Amino acid sequence: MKIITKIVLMLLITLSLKAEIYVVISDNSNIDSITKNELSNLYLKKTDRIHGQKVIVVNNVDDYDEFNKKVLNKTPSQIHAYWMKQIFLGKKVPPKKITKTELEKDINNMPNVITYTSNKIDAKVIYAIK
Amino acid sequence: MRLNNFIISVIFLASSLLADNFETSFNYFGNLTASSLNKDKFYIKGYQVDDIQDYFELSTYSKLGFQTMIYNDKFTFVAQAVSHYVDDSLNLDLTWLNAKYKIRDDFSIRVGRIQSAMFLNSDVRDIDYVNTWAIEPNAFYTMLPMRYYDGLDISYEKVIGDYYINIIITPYGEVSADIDDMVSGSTLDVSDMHMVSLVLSNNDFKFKTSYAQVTMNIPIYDVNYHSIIQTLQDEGNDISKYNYIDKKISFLTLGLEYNYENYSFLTEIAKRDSVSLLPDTIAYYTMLSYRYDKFIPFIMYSSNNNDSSHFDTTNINDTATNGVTKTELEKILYQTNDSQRTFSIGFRYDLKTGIALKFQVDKIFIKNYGTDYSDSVKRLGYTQIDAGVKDDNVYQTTIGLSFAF
Repeated sequence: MKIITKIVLMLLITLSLKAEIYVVISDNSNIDSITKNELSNLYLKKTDRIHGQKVIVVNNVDDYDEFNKKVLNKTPSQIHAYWMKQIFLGKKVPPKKITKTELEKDINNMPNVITYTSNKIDAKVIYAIK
Repeated sequence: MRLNNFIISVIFLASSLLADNFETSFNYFGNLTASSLNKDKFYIKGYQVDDIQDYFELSTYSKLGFQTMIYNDKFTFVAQAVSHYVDDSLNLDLTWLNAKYKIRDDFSIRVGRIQSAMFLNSDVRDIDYVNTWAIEPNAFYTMLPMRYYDGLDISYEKVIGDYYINIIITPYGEVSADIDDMVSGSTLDVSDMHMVSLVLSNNDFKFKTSYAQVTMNIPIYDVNYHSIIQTLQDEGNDISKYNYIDKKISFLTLGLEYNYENYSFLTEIAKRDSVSLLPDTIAYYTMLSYRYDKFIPFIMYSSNNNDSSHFDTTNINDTATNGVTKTELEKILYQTNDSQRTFSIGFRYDLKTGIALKFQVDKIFIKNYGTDYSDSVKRLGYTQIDAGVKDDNVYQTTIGLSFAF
């Protein structure tokens, strides 16, 4: 019985530790929220505008797979195949990747940049997903 | 209008050397694939590729490709070359060489060598890694009149709500392809290509429809063809449907990709019409796959149906030569038949990001129309069969690695 309780507890802890992804933008931006579909269109580079405003999306290398899975519903192979297709069509290249440290340092100096992180940082959160 | 690829090459190189605000990407892709048929006297063949025969060998699906792209916010230059494994050697082909200018955020114009976007995946058919199948549904892809063309296209793309819309207009395109391995000493000349495509997609589905018109010289397999047609015309027959020079051919296609949780459904249908030696044809395929993490099994069915009336010579009058000329015409018509249907099963396994193992078994059923001349004439279609072979089906097995980086 004790073993079963321990397993259940461990599972609950594991689930509760599952990273939340925060989509963030500079505090100076007038964008306050974004939908999952809008994020998907931006990160797949189908558009570079949100609410009529031009933005640049940037990937966080540390949370890249988690973001693709939760927001774009794509596995690492699927997102790689998507970008290979776009590149070999001569259409577009994937958004740039930065590290979590760079992100935390620069986000408030780049008013039009949208990115994401699993850590709460000093920036405006416009979307959150578990 | 013949576009000069040399000029585009010069622009491409000059841009890469002179413009310092341009970024450059270099990518490569390929296939290392072996295929085999389970019977002899059958050959899987498409133009510009080698035969698949009744023993395992590195198939013509093996290839290596490179691409370089130089781009900034306004301009994109793309050069791509693919080397297919043909006759035990790699045969280099320039598949993309174009310059794109972004007029506005939603409008762009592209000039140069462009891969045909007529079907859902025809413009990335060389990049096997992006597709689930090991080999494309050949009963369907034989409908494509060219892999690429030299021309220009204008693209409009817009996101409206959750939907992405892309309209591509091709005002002009042309290509001359060497098909010596199909018809000795022949080229396939396609000109005056005009096409319009519409893509509508969101996160779950992608719909595409295209309409194209081309002018084509249809390859002739028989050196006596001209005298056969002339004789029949002299006998008062309407031979317009047996003409092959500068024939206008139209294509209408519809495609749908739909993803639901781990299921993926892909289907396309295409219709080809002309008054020419090329039979009117309807082709389609349907594929269903399921993703178990890295393992994706799939089933696929494809079919190519020539209009059977094209092979009917009942109303041809040939009293002057006592039916001999009509018989010669029937032999030629027999060779224009490429009807077949293919049932495929297979899987893709993502070994790691950028590399996939693929396996596919195709059971190909061949259809014959009109008088059966298989005793004396080899049938030429995508699946070719030697004269005298009565069998109507063959298995093709393919295994290999696809990669793209």
